Amino acid sequence: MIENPFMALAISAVKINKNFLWAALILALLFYVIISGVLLFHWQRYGMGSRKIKFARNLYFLVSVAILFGAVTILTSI
Amino acid sequence: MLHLDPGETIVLEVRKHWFVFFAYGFSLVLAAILPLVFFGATLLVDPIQSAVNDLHIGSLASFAYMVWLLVLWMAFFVQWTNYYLDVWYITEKRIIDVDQKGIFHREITSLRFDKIQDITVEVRGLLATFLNFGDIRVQTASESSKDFYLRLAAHPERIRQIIFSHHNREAEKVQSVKVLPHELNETKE
Repeated sequence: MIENPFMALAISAVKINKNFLWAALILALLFYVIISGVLLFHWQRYGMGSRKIKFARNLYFLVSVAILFGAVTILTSI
Repeated sequence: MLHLDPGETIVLEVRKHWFVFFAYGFSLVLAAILPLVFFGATLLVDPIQSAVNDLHIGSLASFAYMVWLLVLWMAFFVQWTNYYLDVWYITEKRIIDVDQKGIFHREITSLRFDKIQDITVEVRGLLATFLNFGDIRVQTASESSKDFYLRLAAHPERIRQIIFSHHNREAEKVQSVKVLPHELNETKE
């Protein structure tokens, strides 16, 4: 009988370094701030006051803040 | 930033058809769903399921997925911005071609209606025919300036009609001619 290869993995023995995860979140947050800044600049400068641009901006920040909130909540629960 | 002449207003904004962006958006939705499908499939394997039952592994996977979603969300809006800012503005006097080639690459060209030589519309394929999108090429009278070209534009025939109506209006305008006195004397002789 062939042994299940996954049994060899000591998955439960993996220790998660919380500092590493926080660093990953901060890096993602930094990237998010830069991209959001670039997008805001373009929408403000070239958007011509369009209603669609305003809607897109509100939707973008609403959902991205929700995702970030979710990520922080998960991280604090670990 | 677009600078219009005093009294000049935008008559029409011409963009690529929404289906062009929908194809990209759909690929991002797939990229968002695939990890869930993969993760769900791995739960069928007993050892992995027992590992995931350990809260930390499940939370780690959830955290990674949140970061992945954030990246996809940003990519979606970067691409949408490129799509939305790539536009033709048709005013009463001219066509302004705003070519958003990249997020930091933007080219703006103007073409007055009296400089238009010809407009070509090409609708190719089943999808283009039913969804009504195609390529528009505006040929200029000048050899030195390049033609205006918009691929996969929505309602190309309607845009062609609007441009042509403005072009004809410019062509029909009466041009006033100034006659100098010495020219009058020459004709008398």
